[in-house]
Amino acid sequence: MLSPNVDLPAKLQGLFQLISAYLYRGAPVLTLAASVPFLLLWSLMNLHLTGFANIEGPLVLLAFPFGATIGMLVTYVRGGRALSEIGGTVLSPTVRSFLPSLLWSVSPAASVVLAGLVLGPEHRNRLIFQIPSALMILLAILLIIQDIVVHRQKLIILPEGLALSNGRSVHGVLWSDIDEIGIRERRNRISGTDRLISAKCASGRPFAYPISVLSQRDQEKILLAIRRKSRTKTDFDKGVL
Amino acid sequence: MTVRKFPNRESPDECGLGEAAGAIALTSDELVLFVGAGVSAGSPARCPTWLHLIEAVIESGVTASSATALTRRACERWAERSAKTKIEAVCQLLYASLGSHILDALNILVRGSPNADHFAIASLAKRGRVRAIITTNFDPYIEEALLMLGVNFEIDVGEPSRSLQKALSSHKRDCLFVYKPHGSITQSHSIVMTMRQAGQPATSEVNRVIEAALRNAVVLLVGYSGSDDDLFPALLRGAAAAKRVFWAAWERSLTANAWTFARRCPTCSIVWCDGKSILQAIAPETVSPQQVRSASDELVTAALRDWATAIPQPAWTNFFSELLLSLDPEVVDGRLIVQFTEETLRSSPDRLAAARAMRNRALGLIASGNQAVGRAALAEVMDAYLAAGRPREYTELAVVMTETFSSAVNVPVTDDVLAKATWFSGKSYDSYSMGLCGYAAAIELETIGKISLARNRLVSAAGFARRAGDMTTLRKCLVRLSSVAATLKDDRTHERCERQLSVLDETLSLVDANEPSGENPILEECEQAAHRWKRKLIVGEITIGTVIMLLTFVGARFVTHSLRTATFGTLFCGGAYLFGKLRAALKSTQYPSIEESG
Repeated sequence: MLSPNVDLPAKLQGLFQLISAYLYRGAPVLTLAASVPFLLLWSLMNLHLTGFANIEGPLVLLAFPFGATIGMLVTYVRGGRALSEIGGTVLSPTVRSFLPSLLWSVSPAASVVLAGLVLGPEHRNRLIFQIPSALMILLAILLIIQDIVVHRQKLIILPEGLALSNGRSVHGVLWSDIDEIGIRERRNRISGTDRLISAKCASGRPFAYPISVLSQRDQEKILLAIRRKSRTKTDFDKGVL
Repeated sequence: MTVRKFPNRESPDECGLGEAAGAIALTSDELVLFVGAGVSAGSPARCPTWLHLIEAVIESGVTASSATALTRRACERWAERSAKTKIEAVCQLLYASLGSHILDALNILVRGSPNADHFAIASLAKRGRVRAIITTNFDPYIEEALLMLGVNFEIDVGEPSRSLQKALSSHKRDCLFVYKPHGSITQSHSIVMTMRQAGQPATSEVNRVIEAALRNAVVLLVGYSGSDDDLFPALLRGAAAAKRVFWAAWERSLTANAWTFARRCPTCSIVWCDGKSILQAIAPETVSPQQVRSASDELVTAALRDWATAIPQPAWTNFFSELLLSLDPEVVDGRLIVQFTEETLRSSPDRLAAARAMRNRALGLIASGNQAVGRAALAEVMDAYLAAGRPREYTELAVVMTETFSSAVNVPVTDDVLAKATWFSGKSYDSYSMGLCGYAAAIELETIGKISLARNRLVSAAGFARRAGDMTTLRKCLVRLSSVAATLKDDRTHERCERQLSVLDETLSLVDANEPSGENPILEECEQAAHRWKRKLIVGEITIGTVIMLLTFVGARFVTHSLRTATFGTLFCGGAYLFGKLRAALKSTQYPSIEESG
């Protein structure tokens, strides 16, 4: 999509096609998966149980992401099954990488909660607290989404090239199409060494993956594969830590 | 010159391959395999030796730079002097000019697949005969063979883990360890290839691992020459207490270091393999997979050329200029460097490459005898480096300035320059810069006649240079120290320096076969002086920090009239200062990764 070889109308057309395909394929699963917990929650609230008196609103709001999550889980499992048909060596992100990353992402929201608790109700109601808190929570949501998206991606090493699967779709590049693969390394005393690979392709197709989400053995597998098959360009980034 | 001899045995045990294989097969002890580059040389792995690899890199650089007069001259000089040059010093120049891209040239080490020796190692490990494998190789073939045969193992790269230390110290084995002290190709930052990395003494953890391996297991050294300055001294230190050692020699020749080890170790046998593999002899049932993959020489050469062509031209010009400058350039060489670096300066869009070219041009001018213009150019580059926030490069040039011009005019002309360089080095406790600054300060002191002070400064500077793996400065310090000691009638220091210098010139290594620990006492003296110097610096800075904190407290108390604010303010500022200093002090004691050496 970022290729300078493809003109703007063609890019826009491709983008709309992608969005429509996503809605078309995802909508039924999303609706079906969301409907069950959504109806359950509504029926619970209609029973006028004592405990639900003050949380009807938040529950309604919670129902949507809950349903969406189930929907995403279903497509993820379906996508995972489809991977076996592709073949090659499938490298999946580890829980060991996901959990610290999630903890880091949740930290802005956690700090808002902590600040709210420490400051007390009179400060919590002021705009000076609410505006930065809203920004921090938004930041946390963005980081969490980013974490989930990255950790849902699987890297596939094939004899013909490299592929990325996000559980829903697979896209890849051929070894013959790759001009050079950049390996960026950054020492990080908290999370270990951060590594990112990004392929520069003749067709201009972008291909990048943060391989530090993989286990050490899997990182070695992919690094060996790219050092064997392609020209590489190693860069060290100096981290703060 | 008095030469002390400390051999445990005048002639070490020697045996044939069959005899050694039988002895290893009969022993019930587990093996620790110490594997060097020789093991990966056989097909289909076909890894070149370090020297051949660097020669191939230089050759590909010549092709990529269209074989200019500069590259041709640099190659001629290199061919004349290569036998007397430590290969890691050339790697240092490559890293300085090409940056981390030099690591991509190592991709040719992974173009093959494990050979019969790698499978023999894996087969021995599968039978539970191996406790640990220590390898100086960057290639992944041992791990690949272990994976192919389904052997479970843990890998340690760089600094050894506690579990490896424990596994080698105890008699119980939970898991096989593969330890790669010089790094692995899959972890670029771990690779030890430059002079400043390879020249450093091994850390206490590495020493402990090697000594524990020698003490508790039967050690088989194979494909290893013992010519490194970090692991070999550790091996030598543990030689006397070794349980049983076999040093396999492929042909009927061994390096001086290997002989030294064999003489020092009472349980060591030299195994003459006569072109046969000892690993395959002790694991005879090893079966290599049918399908083997090996890149042909043409493909490897083509891959290197492809790599070299992708590197910008100014980087290659800078490398060949620096190579020539490092080989005692003549007037004609200086002129060539000036001519080509001026072209680079006109065409290079990269700021750092341009600064490097400016530096080489200034040094080229000095080499060509144009001292006045060279000095002005040098001052200009130093300003550029100062503005770019690169204190190491600034310090390097400050030393050149002092070395070249201070004694010539007999006036300490570079006080200001040196003061700045010393400030930078002290600020970060960077051993490399402290070595350089100490050396330059000693020249100044010698120039103004303070010989005794110059001696002390040279001793600590040599200690810092040794700590930083900076063999060039260490050598220069020893040369000057020898002459200063002679002036002061300090015969012992003079004799020790001379002996160490002759060892350095003959073997390109610091290991002195005539010393019981393998190390000349002058190095120990220098190391201790550097330690004392650094301690004084830290204590001084903490004292200054404390005084500043007290003054801040008094000032804040006076201005704010609040004891609480003044205390918190002072503690915060002082804490930040002390944290910064502590961080710098700790960082400078760590074994540096390649990213920090440039």
